[in-house]
Amino acid sequence: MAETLESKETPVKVSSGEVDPSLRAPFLWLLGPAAVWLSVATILALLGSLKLVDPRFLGTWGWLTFGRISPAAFLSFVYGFGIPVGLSAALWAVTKGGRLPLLGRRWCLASSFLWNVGLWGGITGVLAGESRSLSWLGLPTFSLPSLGLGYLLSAGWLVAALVSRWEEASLALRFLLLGLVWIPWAGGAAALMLHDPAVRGVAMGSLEWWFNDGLLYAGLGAFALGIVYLLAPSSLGRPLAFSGLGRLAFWTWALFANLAGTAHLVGGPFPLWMVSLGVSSRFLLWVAAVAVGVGFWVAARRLPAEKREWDPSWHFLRFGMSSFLVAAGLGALLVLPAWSRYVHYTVLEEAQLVLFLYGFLGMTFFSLLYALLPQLLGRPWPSPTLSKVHFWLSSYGISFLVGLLAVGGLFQGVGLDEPDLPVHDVIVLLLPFLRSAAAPATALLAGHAVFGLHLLWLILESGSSRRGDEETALAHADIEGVRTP
Amino acid sequence: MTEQKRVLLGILLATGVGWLLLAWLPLRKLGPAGASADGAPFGRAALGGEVYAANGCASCHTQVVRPPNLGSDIARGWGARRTLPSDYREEHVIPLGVLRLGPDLSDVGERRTDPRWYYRFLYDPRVIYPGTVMPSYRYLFARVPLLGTPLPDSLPLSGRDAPRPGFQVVPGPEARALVAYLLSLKRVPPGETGKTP
Amino acid sequence: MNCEDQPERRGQEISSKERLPCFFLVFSTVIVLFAGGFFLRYSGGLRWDVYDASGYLAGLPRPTATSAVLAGGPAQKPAAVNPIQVGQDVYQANCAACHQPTGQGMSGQFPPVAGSDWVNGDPRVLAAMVLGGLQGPVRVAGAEYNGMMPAWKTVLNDAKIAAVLTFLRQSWGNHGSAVEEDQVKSVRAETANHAAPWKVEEVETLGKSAGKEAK
Ligand code: HEC
Repeated sequence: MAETLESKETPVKVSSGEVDPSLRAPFLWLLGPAAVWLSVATILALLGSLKLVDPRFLGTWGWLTFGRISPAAFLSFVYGFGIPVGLSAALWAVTKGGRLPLLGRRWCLASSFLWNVGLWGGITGVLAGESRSLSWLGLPTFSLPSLGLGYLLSAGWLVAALVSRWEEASLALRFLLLGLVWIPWAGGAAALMLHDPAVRGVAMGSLEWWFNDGLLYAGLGAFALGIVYLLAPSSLGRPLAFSGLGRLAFWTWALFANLAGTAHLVGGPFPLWMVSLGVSSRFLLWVAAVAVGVGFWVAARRLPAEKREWDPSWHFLRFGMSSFLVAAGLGALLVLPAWSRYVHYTVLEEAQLVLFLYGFLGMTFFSLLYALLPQLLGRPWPSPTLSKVHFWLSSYGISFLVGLLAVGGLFQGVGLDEPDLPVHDVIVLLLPFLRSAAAPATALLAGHAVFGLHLLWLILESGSSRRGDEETALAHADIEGVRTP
Repeated sequence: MTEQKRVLLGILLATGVGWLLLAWLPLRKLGPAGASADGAPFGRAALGGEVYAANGCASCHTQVVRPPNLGSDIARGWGARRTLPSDYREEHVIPLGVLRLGPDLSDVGERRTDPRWYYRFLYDPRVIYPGTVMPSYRYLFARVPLLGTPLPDSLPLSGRDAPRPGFQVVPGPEARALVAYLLSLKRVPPGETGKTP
Repeated sequence: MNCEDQPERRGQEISSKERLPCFFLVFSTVIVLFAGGFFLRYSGGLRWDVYDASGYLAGLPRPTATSAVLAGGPAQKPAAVNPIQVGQDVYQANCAACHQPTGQGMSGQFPPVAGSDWVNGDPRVLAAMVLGGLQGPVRVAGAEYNGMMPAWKTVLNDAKIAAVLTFLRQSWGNHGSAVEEDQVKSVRAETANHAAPWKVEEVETLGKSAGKEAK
């Protein structure tokens, strides 16, 4: 069913900033728990880095051993925060900024419930020692049915709506569709295979890494790129340039994100072609990333002057895009076998992961939240200062975290390559970097806490004054105007 | 076919290509397809692999020996040759690892052969490597009353770690399984090369 | 800086008045060619049993290792470090779990190495014990122990064993002579056929017979 749609180039002026009230609940059900998971993830990550400062810190408690909280931190960030925000981006896109109804919205509540129950069980399971140490597939078995059902309940409606309200040539919708479809496809296939007792041997390793890179690039990465395309008209004042190139980038992304994972397995027990395929794919992904980046910066050059002042959505988006480009470049360059002997298995690779996760995904997701929530709740953010504090704490936190890990990783890599230097001495070289990384990690936590407070304030304010000053909110929403891509 | 259907189909196919090349084919070609049906780890060592995974040892340790042109793993005595798919053929836990904050463990059962060393080490790594970042795993051990002479496998603890008088520390079932697993880690089959570090 | 010409594969779609920046065209061409070339060069014939490649991009063997081999000889070894220090590290990493960092052992379980006649006595017997392991009853510093020490010959090389023995014999009030790497080497060669851990009686005779031979 084709709906008449304005051309992509002309932003739609919103007639009424009001979000369809029936959609408030699905959004809040997605985003409220996401904010909680964000803080859980950051607290766990901070605990993890404190454990490297002194391993005896909370040391006797098995639930909080380093090997459990560090995966738990990553898992709760990705599954607790990343995926729900990605889903709400899709929801935002298919309802055209909350103005069109969504057929299955009641199911969204059930979906969010199942998802969060599954995840609480899963993260608790990881902390209790039920995990199988499979990176992003590391959630324990018993949590998977609930998570899978939860995801399908909302993603199913979203995909259906996305396909029926398709806009020719909209890149945002393509990327969101990729994220929506990739996660259940690959997650389901991987989970089924991993629980088949006939599946043994190194194939489990390549399966794991297919999923790892796929989830980061084709799952969450696609969500985040969808957000970039979605927000560009309102944040940059115009859509991204070079949409044809963007389409090419999309297909490159969709295919090679699936093949890039084996790059991590260089030197491992895998045939040469698998590793080389992964390395080449990482380079092609880099090209695709730069293609999107070029479109972004060309569009951003004409930024309206008032955005340059302080617009949280734009600032977060810009930081996210910069991190994206750097992370994609690092992702390609670091895996070249020529120097993987110096960088593989070091914290330099972790620096790239942190940059991608927190720098690109996290910051882009915040950018969406800063744009979306005021319209959803019908009120502007109460305090620009708080959003500034959030931005500066996060951006400095991420930059320093990545910088420390990167430099420390070089020391570690060169040290490990020196066969006569005992491992102990290598770690002693690295420790100052790991220990000082606790400071930026704290800044990041503080940033997220500021965001949480700000969000709480916004919700409280909108709740208390909804009846009263609908007018002002409306007026403001008109200025902020959602423009669909 | 409308554009949206094409895109949807394309996404499904692209994902399928990844699955085919990185999951299905490797399983056929590198997995347990061969005749060696008896090689699967069993008993304690198999359980120990799960303990290894559940406690996240893989977040600091790898189990991959890289060839000499990709790292000095062999020069460090972490193995006599690069790891091959056959080294993992029958295993369910494939802890290849992501980060090396500690030594590679793919061959640790060759380097360290005494279970008591492992117990003492896991109980408090700082006694053996002062100042190390390896966490203590004392929650895998049990403190039991000391009746008469110590049990044969009670841990030789002194100083800071010594239990209260009248008690002794013995490895719990998970610690036993874990150590059995570590002792079984001899991924380079014996006789493949001489291996004095 | 804009390029006038656009490759047709992406040319027709550009609707805006922007031109693709030149740097992007150059960058993408170079990287795409590189990625393709890399895969073709290092595809290992798409075989399932080819794991390694060698080349500038696939990683070269460590240069220092080859140069050391070329220069050859023991002269290339790193400047000699204090053997006591090496020995202490080896002890800490391998022995302290049972014999304790203080060398006092655990009463009833693990004999002390501080003040032990075995440690201060014949270095050849001591070396044989450490190389091959020890099993069964043994009397140390006036107390009886009945346990089992694993063999270290597969774990530690001669230099490390010599260093740790020297450390044992010169710490905690022990006053034995230093042990040389060659001594350990000869004991290793001599006992090469002895697979199981030593019994005290066996290892004692080794010391005596060797002593006689030497005389
Ligand atoms: C925080 C990181 C970390 C975690 C988690 C960790 N280790 Fe370690 N491990 C180390 C470090 C570091 C060393 C080396 C000690 C040193 O030199 O400081 C080490 C050394 C070892 C050794 C000795 C290897 C040798 O060749 O001497 C073994 C065995 C070991 N670890 C087993 C484990 C097991 C089993 C687990 C999980 C229960 C584990 N480690 C978890 C950091 C870690």
